[in-house]
Amino acid sequence: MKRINFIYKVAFVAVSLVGLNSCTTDDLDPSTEQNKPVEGGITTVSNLEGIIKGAYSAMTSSEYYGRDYIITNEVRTDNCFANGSSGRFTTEAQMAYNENNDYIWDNAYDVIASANIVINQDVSVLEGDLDYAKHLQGQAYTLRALAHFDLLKSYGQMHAGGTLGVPYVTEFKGEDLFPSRNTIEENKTAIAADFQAGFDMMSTAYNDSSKEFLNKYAAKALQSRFNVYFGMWPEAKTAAEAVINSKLYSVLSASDFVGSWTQDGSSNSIFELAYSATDNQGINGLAYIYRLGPAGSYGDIQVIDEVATLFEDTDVRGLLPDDDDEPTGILGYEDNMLRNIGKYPDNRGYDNVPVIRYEEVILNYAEALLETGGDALTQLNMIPSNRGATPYTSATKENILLERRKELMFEGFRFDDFVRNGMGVEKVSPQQNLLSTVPYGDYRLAYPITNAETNANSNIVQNDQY
Amino acid sequence: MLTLFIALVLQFSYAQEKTITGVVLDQDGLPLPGANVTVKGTTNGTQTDFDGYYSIDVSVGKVVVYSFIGQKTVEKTVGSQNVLNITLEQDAQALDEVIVTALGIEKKKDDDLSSSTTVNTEAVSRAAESGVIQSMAGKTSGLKITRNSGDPGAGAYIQIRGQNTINGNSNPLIILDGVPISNTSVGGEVDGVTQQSRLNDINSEDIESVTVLKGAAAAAVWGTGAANGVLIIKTKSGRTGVERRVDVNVKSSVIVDKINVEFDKQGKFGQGSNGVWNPFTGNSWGDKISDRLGGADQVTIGNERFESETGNVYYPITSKNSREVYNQTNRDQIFGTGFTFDNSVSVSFSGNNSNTFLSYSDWNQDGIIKGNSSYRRQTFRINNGVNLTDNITAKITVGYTRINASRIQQGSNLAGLYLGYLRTSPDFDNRDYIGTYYDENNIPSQYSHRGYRDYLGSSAPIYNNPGWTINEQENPNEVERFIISPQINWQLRDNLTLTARYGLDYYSDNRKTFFPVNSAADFAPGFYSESTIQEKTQNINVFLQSNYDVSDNFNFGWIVGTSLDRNEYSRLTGESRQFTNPEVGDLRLFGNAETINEKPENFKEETRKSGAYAVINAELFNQLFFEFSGRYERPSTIEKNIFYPSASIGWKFSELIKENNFFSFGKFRASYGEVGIEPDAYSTNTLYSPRGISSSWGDELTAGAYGNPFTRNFTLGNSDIKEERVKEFEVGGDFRFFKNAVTLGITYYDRVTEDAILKLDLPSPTGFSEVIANAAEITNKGLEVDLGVKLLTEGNFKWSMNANYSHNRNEVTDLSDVKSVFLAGFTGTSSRVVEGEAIGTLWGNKFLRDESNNYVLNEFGFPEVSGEEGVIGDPNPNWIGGIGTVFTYKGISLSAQFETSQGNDHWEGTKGVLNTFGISPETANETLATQDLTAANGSVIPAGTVFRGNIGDFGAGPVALDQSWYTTNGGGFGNQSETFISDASWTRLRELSLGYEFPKTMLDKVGFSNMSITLSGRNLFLWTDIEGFDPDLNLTGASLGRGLDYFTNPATQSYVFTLKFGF
Repeated sequence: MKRINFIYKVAFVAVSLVGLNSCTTDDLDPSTEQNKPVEGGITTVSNLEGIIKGAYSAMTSSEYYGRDYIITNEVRTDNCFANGSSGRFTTEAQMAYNENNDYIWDNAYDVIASANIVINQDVSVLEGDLDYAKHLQGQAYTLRALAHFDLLKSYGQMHAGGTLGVPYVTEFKGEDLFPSRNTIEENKTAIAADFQAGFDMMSTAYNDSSKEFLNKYAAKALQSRFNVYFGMWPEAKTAAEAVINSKLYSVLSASDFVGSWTQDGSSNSIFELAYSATDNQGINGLAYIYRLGPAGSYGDIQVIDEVATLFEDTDVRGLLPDDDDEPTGILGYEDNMLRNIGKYPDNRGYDNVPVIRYEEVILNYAEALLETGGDALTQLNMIPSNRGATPYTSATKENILLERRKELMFEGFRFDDFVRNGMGVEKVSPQQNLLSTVPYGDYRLAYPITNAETNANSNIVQNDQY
Repeated sequence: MLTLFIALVLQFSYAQEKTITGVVLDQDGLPLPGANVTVKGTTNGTQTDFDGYYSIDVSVGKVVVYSFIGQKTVEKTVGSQNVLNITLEQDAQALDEVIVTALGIEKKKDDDLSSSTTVNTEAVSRAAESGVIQSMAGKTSGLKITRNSGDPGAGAYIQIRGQNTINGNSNPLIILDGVPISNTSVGGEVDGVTQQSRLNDINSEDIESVTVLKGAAAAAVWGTGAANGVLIIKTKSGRTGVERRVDVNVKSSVIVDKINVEFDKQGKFGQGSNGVWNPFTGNSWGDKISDRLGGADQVTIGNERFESETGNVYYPITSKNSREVYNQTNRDQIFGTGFTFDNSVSVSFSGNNSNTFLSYSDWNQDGIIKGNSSYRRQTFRINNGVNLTDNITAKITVGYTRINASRIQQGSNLAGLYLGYLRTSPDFDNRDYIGTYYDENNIPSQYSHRGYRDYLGSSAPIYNNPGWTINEQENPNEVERFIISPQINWQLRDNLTLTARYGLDYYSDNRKTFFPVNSAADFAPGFYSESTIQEKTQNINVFLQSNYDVSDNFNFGWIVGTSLDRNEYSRLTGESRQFTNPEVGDLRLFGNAETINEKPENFKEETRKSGAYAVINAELFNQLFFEFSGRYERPSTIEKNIFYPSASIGWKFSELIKENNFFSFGKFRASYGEVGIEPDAYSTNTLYSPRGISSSWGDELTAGAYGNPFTRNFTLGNSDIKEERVKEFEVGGDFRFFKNAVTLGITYYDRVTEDAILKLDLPSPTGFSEVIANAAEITNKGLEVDLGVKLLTEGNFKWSMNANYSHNRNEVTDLSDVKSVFLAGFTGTSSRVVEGEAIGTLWGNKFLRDESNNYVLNEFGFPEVSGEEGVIGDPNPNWIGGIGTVFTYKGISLSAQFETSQGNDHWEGTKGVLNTFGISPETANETLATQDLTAANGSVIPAGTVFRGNIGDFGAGPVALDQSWYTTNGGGFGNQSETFISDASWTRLRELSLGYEFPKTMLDKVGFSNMSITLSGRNLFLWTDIEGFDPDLNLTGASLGRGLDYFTNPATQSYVFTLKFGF
């Protein structure tokens, strides 16, 4: 009897031990209350939406559209200079950057990675509105095209005498952890295809009035920018026409123009990035570097004095007479320094940042018409006639570029307009930080690839002379 | 299981002939429960019950062996008698030689095959330190203790042998009364406040012993988590199986703390630059104070002024006339004598069937820093053991700790105490730090902050006035901790015991940080944050244990068990910056800021582990010992099961040697073991997380405008990630000579961490910035020697000594071509991991040298800087050691403990910066130029001129080291740091203590059982070439980064008076 009792005890213990272990091995998978695993983490369309919003959010960062991308393309030109107040952007303005600067490299690829998760997702297995899922994938294609296009403009060797573009990444967590640079031509083909895919997959049913999310025609509008940049004129014309024919947008009138910069989702806006009281770049935002502001700021980016003379007195984009009841223009003086006081004016960074607006599409269309032999003048004059300026009598390349400079000033277009037309950056004002003219073909017209990249990835070829 | 059944078969194969009963007593006549009673040459055996009684069946003529750990073994041959009452005398030698194994089982040191050592209660208690960790310093080999600072409640870091990991947990595993408890250390940055060590939550007086398991083999049953060694802590308890008695012990100490080393400041030159007084600069390169006119400063009396809270009024100075120097005043403003009252009382009940130990302690410390600097720890413990039946005993230990502390900002921190005080110019009086500033229009600003760079307090200063730091700025924290561990021992058979333990360790640590409006720099608009950290550690451990004496020449035992671990860690943090209403300075609440300046944050992490283990040990011919263990485990942090083996062998060769006066005991031992360190939680997966955007200037934003978007982590998960595996081979021996008067333990170990985890950079186009990989290898090789000598043992005068020596060579043998990994420190100087060097290697910029190692000089004869960072020092000591001695004469005892660390480098960051600021005394030397001397900026000091500075020579003849040198490469903000790396070897008198124990005869009359008074000193003498700070400290505390000093709050020396009595 004693023995049976003993065996019973031992058996009980043995069973308990086994039982304790077996009922808990299932629990050994990581518990992730605040995170979702990437593998199998997306089960619903709203999950997908969370990811694509993450991509938009990445675009708003101060290294990208939040500040650096825009400022860098202004401060390197005859529009602006860096006064050294906080030491920011003097390096960029002198085009003395080196490979320690990561510029938009990390951020743009961050957008692409999130976009690729959405693109690679098999939407048919998701719960929710599958058409909307497809629309989101269209947004992802468009974002992927835009981010690669921005990278190509920054790092590609188009204007520095080479053939290399940037790595075109189409997979998330793919096998290739050390991608090489594609050629410029490969990049162009891929970008064009992604813009087209974006347009095809998005549905007008999901057009968003806030303009904070991409829609079908935003893809076309961005495509027109891309086509103009590479001189693909017939394609540029078609793309711009698609936007115009949608009749969703209009050129703002002179009286509405300045005010539109403090409002979100104006009728001329095609796609803009959301900034608000709860989500903004604060001291790393645009106004903090463009303006002096009431509560102090960096205020490094001043406008070159000659710029004021570009505008007629009645042009809302210039200096309007300082009359108490009248709205001021885009230009203004703060502490006797000529500054951008009208675009993204909120010192706290609460204003949305337009990525593409209708006026640019009109100017893209005008230039495409000029190149393909259409009525460019009518399109071109839609801009000055809505800004309190005298219309042009003829449409020439010079006039179009001048109007682009005036209309798109402080929005980061000037540098691209130089280089895509085979021009370097000329030293025209002593205020420019540049020591001397940088001719077309100079290595500095392509940004260096950050050494964080070249150190981690031996397949990456650095741009010449860096 | 097979073993178990073999055991069963063996159990039931014996005949019964005669029953012997009796009681086993100790030398005091008290029953010994659990003593082993075996029949020699058989597996037949039993243990005494709780009253010391036993009953065993045995044939006449057989020999019965009575043994108990710590007592001398007795053998009796069975004759005609049926009752055998036995007294086992205390074995004086063996008593100190009990060690506790990884599973909390006591074992004779002589039979142990590991290098484990035990630090007993007297040694822990004698140190009178606030923390258990600090009190072990110098007491045993292989253990290196580094302190965070001398602040009240400051923690310390334990390193057993060498560092084994780069990214993983580097703390030893702590087993308290058989169950693992948390030893998390949160923080350890170059700024902020000194961190506490959670291990110090335990009252030292409650501790009976601390066993240090240094080797991998000894720790292998704990597998993952045991790679940094194990500390087995046993708390006190009463005794069961004795007559009912109550012992009360009271201890009361007063501790007086003083700073042990501090930086000297020059008092000759005033604030300013280039010999000109300037009250707005940070530097003290101004005019010579003794050359001033004297008397009061000339001021402009007008509206603009500062009225201090003490009623003094300061006006704008037009001419600095005063020759006053305030170095001492400013020092006394913040530093003083610290007082600690440490009181504890314990009651232990011993009884027939149960025992209870109750204790309460209160450590109440006001440190050397005045103002909001204090540490109060109250602990309560109840340990209860009860015999539920004859076969089942239950025990529960419950500890509760409550800490209320106030800490002071330190380090690289504009609010840092030492930074503000040391940089203050000698001619500025810091005392009036708060008051009202009136501008030129007589408009007042209340709570204005006056500091040496803004003597009217017109705006928030660059650095906090130290008075502001200690009185206005607050960093309180409050810890509450419960550790509850019940356990049951069930004696299933005479030689089969089931032990089941559960441990619950829960604490919450609430930390608040408050910067009032007008604090320095970023915090000028006000800042408040509150963070609650909660951690819950649970463990279930069940094992079966058995021992068999098969024959005279062979016995063996086994243990099989299983354990489950679960750790939950969470942190909830909120912060408000830029107060909307700056006046409500005494409220500590969120909401006093715009929504944009409020930030909530939460973090949660959970890990689990499931494991099963087995240990088999055997003894052959009483001299050959074998032990094998294996642990099969699955941690939640890894996606596969893992196995940790260990094997040990020992030979007690002294059994072969005839007893003689020279050689008393000898044992060789060798072991091999494997243990691991698990990767960070969730490393196997690539995760989506809420996307927040942080900018380079620290203002972190939530991505609210796009809803709550998700992004994937920038760290690529690695589903193949493995544990970091430490494999160690250890050989050694334990010897005793001269009738056990001399004991010697020697151990050599060679350990390697394979698959150490590194984060490798990934190219951005992949969408990731890094991947976690098993990509590094680290080796540690070392020698440990422990020596004990009993010089005088007979008579009234007793004298003993002990010494220990440890040498460890750490090397990172593989780093996957990564140039260096940053651990802690600064942009210019840091502690890093570099292939071919020891972990923690100091890294920074150097001077440029030519092939023959001479400086490459510039046109002025000063060295050029290389521009490329490299290895500049090694903070790991070549060896460390300790010597302790105890004399006793009747009731008087005198003890001393010396400790040394040799060959460790330290970065003198503070000294460098004090050079830059013109504060260090060497910058105030006045030197006569005996020839024309060129200064670092190219200017020439003509022969015959007396200049402020020194003459140096870098190889091109004498040059002038003046302001232009010290504020550039001759100072801490220069482009090189190699000149501030120094050999920080030190030796110290760690403890000195004189005690008197009142004789029993005297106490009996007044009803006391014991009473003693002790006067002791801690850290009384320090011998080192380092000036200004104690190289025992490390700025970044428990981080892997070592050897850094940068305005670290100073260390202390203490005088302790202790009264103990019991009844």
